Amino acid sequence: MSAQSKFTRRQALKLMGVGTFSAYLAACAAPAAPSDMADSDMPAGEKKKISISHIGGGSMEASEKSHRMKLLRSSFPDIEFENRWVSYAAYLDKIPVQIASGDLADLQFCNAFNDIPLMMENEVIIETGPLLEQYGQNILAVTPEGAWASTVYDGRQVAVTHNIYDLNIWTCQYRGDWLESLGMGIPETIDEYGEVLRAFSNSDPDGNGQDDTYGRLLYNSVRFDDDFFHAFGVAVGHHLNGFWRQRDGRLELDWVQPGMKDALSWMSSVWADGGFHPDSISIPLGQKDNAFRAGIAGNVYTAWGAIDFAQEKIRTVAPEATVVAGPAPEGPGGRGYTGEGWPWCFVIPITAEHPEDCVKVIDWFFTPDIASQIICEGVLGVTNKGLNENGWCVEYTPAEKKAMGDEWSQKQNEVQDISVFWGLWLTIGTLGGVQPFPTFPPEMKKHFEDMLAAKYSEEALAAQVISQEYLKLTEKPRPVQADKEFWPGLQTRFGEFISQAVAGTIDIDQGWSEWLDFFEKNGGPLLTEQVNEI
Amino acid sequence: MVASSSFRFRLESILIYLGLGIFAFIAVTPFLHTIARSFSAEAPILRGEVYVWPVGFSFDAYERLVIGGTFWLAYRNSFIITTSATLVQMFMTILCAYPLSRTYLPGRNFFMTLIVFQMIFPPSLIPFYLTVREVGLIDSWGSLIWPYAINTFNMIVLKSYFQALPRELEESAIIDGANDFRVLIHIMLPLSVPVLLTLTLFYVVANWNLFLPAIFFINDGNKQPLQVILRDMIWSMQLATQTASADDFERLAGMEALKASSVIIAAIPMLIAYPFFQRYFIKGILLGAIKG
Repeated sequence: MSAQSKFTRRQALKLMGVGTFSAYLAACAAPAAPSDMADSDMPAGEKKKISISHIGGGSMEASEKSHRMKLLRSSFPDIEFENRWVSYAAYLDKIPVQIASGDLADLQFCNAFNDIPLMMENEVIIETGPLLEQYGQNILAVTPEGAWASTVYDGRQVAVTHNIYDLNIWTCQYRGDWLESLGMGIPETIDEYGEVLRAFSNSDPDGNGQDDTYGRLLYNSVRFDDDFFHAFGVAVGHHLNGFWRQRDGRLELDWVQPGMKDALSWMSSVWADGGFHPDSISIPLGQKDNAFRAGIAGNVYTAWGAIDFAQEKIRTVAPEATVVAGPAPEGPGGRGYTGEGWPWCFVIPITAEHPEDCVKVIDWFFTPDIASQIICEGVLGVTNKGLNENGWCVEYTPAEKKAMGDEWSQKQNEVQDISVFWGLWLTIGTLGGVQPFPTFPPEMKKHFEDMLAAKYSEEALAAQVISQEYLKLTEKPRPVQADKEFWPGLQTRFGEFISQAVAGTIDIDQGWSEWLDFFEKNGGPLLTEQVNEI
Repeated sequence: MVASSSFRFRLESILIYLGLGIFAFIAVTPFLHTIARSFSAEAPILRGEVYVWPVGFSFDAYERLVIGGTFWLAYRNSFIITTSATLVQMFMTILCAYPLSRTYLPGRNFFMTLIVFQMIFPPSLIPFYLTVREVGLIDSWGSLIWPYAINTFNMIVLKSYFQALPRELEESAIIDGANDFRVLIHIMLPLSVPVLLTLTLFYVVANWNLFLPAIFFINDGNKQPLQVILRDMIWSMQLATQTASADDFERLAGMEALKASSVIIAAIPMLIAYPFFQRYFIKGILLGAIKG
């Protein structure tokens, strides 16, 4: 009995050892190298295969029904496209696994700030600079120069294209009717701003005799409220991503500048006066505009493009409501709105067999003839008017949509799976404000400019101008090595500190000293050094 | 004396019911709140006016969820995945648990060591993903079934239950000429109904709520289970509200109610299943846990 048991255990251990070692080897194995077979070696009649990962459409099937996928397949008959559609929700969980396993599409959609550092570490993507020079002239012609900075490593470009919409879209928006009823104007300075928030909360701006209104709902534990911070010469950086700027010839993180403490003290005083909605510290980002749209908060810091939508929503409870955008409030440190830059891009993994064709395919999307067919909102011929006699797409104007009534809703329902978020190719004028390409011939450009002008209210277009006027971007172009080890800890600690400071649950002086101490002892100086070495 | 003990008994009962009532209230309130939100108009939800009763009663959210093919496709997918996976899992769990419950099985300790080892040290995600990919299961429902064909904890519960059954029953069947399969099917399984139903419930719930494996292994949106589709729907709408123009108002209104209704709809099959399994549930767990 004991002899058998001893033998079994030994054997089990041996098997476990061999199994673990095999699994380890499998996990550490380098991804397969790209095939050496040149295009000319392809057997006659055999199609090249290219897989594209993209976000767009509500399902794979819906994605296939889209005009752009049909056009892509018909325009490249010698290429067999594998459509690796992925929903945005799935993408967030899936991409780290894909990177670690090397299981990437030939044209892989990803986030430059979050995903490319991991891809570089795993050595799974190729340099694209020379390919872009040779095959990507249309891409280069329409992409803002600033967009490329986040994907340059050791002087080498690793993205094949960036989104051409940017996320520099933020503005302060106010309930115009509330300002009017309180006899106040749009605030220009941070002090006026504080007074407006307090009045929205405490002076019954809706005149219903009840204490049921607030100045504003902060987002996601004060991680998205940089309009306040810029007035003190600092910023948190949207999504708590940090904000770096030049100070005495060196890049320094705003989080450790004295202005940060001043900003927090100012916000804490507004909080104490009831200027902020009490859910502000716990509300998730996805619900950031809710209080404003529900008509219980008078101010919001959000994308300019949603201003008309917000006004319509508020009018369901307050028919006379108006929404107006205002400038960034000015304070002792200046003023500004944080831009989020150009985070989305395509890369090519080392496993891609036809990298040249990958670049040609993306470049094709940026040619005026093709872009002018796919840049419109909606589904061709269903929720837009289709192509005009020049072959350029035409959107319905808001008035035309309104006139259609139920028919318009039916059309939207009919294609709702196809027309959701388009990832890289957001349509003209949406979220990031895609503009008509500079490469469009004059007549084509005017066609789209006119369409854009008809799409939004005057207030919204004014808000767009404001968002650009006060735009500020972090000067740190991309992550550095020390980020991986130290940044998550710094983010967590700083996030805790600022939310506690604003809500008044800690002594700000003491909290500030402790935070600075934490920063010094947990990689802050090394991080600063590496950022300055980029 | 009698009156005093009766009073004490009544007081104890009141306190017990009061305590349980408070517990039940705490457990049920979030669910009632979600139901109330799912039937409410959007404005009251956003204004924080909805508690446990709908305000501005409306079926809109449910209508929008069930109109269109995606929702029913997802429901069908989840149903197929749950049914197939549960059948496979029960089959495999029984086939594994029974032999391991027999003390005369050669190498029993060795197999148990292997099984417990992987329970303590489960495979990490990347090798797991690579294995699933290498055997060609990516983008097939097989990837949600075969890698999860047996749950170690459930298997050990069943093994313990089999072990606890009187040995004499098996011996008398063997004397009558029954082989191991016959003993399993005609003796052990009929005596194990409570634990089998309990484990089925465990598996059904886990399979119905399947989420991350589907995200990792299934690319085709038409094969995704309900939970993934519902999250996609909500994400899409949230993103769309960022980009929306005023004419999208109707389409994107009512998102909060939609979220709540999707939670309710996803929970309905489990709400229906639980009462049928409930009477076996505690019994099964206790019996299986008596002997290790």
